[in-house]
Amino acid sequence: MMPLPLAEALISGAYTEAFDPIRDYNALYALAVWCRRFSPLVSIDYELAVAHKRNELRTLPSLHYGITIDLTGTEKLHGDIDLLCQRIDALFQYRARICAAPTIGGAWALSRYGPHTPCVARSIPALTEALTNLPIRSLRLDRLCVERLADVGMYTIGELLSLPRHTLGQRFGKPLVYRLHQALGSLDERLNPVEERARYERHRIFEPPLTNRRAIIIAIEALFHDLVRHLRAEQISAGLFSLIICDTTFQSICKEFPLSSATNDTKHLLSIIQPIIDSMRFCGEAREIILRAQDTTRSIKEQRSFTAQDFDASEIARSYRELLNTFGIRIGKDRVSFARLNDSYIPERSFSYESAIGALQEAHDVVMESPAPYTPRERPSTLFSTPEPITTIAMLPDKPPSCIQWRDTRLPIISGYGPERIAPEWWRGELRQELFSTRDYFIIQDNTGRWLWVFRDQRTHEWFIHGSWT
Amino acid sequence: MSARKESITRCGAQIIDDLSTRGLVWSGSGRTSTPTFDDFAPYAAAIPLGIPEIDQALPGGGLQRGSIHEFFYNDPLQPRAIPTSLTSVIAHNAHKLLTTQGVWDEAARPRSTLWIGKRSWPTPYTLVGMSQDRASATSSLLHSALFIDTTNDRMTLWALETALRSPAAHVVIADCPRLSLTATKRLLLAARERGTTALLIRNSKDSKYPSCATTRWALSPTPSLYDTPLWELSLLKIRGAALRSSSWIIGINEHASSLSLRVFPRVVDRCHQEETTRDKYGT
Repeated sequence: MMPLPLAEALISGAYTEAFDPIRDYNALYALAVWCRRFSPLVSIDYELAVAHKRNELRTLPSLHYGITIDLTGTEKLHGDIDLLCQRIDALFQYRARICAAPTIGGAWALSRYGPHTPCVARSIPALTEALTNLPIRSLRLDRLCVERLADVGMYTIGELLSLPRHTLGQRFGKPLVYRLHQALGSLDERLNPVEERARYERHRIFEPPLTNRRAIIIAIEALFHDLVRHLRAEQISAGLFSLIICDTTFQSICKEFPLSSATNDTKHLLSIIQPIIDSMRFCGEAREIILRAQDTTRSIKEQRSFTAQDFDASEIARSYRELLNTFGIRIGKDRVSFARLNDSYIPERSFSYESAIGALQEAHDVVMESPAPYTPRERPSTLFSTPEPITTIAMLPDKPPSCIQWRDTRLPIISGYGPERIAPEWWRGELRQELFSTRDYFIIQDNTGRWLWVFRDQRTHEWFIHGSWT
Repeated sequence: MSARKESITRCGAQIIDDLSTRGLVWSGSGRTSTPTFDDFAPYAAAIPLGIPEIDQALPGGGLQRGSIHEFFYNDPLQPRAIPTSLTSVIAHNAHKLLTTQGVWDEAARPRSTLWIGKRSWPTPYTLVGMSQDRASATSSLLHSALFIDTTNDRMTLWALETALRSPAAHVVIADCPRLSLTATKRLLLAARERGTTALLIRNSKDSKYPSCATTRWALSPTPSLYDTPLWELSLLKIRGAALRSSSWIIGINEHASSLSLRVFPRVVDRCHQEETTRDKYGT
């Protein structure tokens, strides 16, 4: 264990990644699901599953990241166990420690602490012999028990086996006895098999492939109705629908429909998705169509009240979500947004727009509002997205200009207010980067009554117009 | 006989007044009383502009809900400019109408205001300054405002119509492309179906074409000697009613803490005129 810079100094060019235990857990789970090709009963370590449920993955020792495969009854399929172990070793590219033993405890111990890999123990006596020299930690005991045993000079399982069994429980606790018996096969140990996470998808292969556009659309709609009916039966709402169409040259078109809130309302979904499908261009022939529902959450069917009118709060909320869905899919997720005021007095950064789809709307409701930092006179009601350059004529230093030229028109100025200096925010380190220079803002009025917000850049002494009161 | 006739006329006038306040009868003679914010009828059908002189000229005391209103901004240098101050004030008044009506409870999300078309988005300060009382901070205009960025005209029209037909939208402000008469009629029907109000900002060159909008306004900047920008607001048309006084000078009310407008007197600026003649002729 050493600090990262020291490690990087020792090994130059090392690849480093942040520790993300949840990503590792998900990867291991997926690997365990993949291992179901060897046997239907595959599980991950019980301690790992418990730690994941309790969100304690960060403190779990890495020994527990392992997969247990139950090979009972698979002799006919795999033949010799030795050969199977070698094959799995090769599949894992010789990076995993593999062991096969009659009991789970024994296999766990041998795979972590065994002398070589792959290691096969074919019977209980062979297992007992192999376990003799392994340290007591390999029985999955906690540190206190191991230390207590070390106090009396017990370091390996062999020494433990030489003690009379019936005294072990009183002296060192019952877990020791259980683990020992589980490792030697006298006690059963339960395996929690991994299950493939439920996938909601409908999949149809067309032989011969569909060439008619109308036929493809009908097929998509039929799949869609089927899938949504299944979702409703299971009381699941999906937040993302994906449509994949593969053609005969094995290229596929993928279209995603991200929704702002999960829903399984057939009519609403159909009204959103149909225009998109009708306007899709299908090149080639459709050999296979897959429709998937992802981002699923449980939804509880509620009966709408008899007296629900259009102006009821729940109806309004529902139609608001549907409106967001419709806009999000047709126009695009990023183009439907809320406005937020930021904590900055640089005009471009003082407000921002964030996407309404997927944003936590509850957070908006709870935030208490502070009164506006600027009066309507201080800030223009329309801000240009980029300041436009203007030329000023007859300018006096530190006073508003008396005449400006904007968009090829000469505008004499009849009144001006200012300057208001906006300097870069030094706490953000911009003075070093020189991204933003000090500006002197003026509010000026030209002879036709237009009120404009102009500024002079302190560094380059150029004038720009940034907004106007319309 | 004449006393009885008088009493009938008085009853009749009262009935018509009552109906006009509810927006069910439109009369262009301005006989209706202007409702103020304090004594709104529960289902008031008009959004007041907050400017008493203009509200009196409008039947129902303001912009009728469930219909479309068009705005033209005349500024040769900024051809596609949007009158953001005016639309923000109207949106604020409409939002205040919702929260004082008492039909919604605080926890539910009230109907939203939509801004369609990137040009029509105001700077968010104009929306925040409007929530004066802390009690209604949770339902302020900024929080219930949706901004939609559409890329082309067809999408803008589609978004406008979808928003008008949805029960969740209350006021829709859109930067409109060229609209034909049938398109405006379609939008009017969509708005009437759900009671949504649409404020359409159109190109000032389109003001000569007919449309089905309930009211049409033209805005152009005027020189001001005060501290605030001034605009000349003209009412071009009220659908189905005779037009009386039609143009006012309005400006930002500097004594109010939030954005609101008031009428300013017309002042002819003679000192500048003198200066230019002096420059030109030397006398």
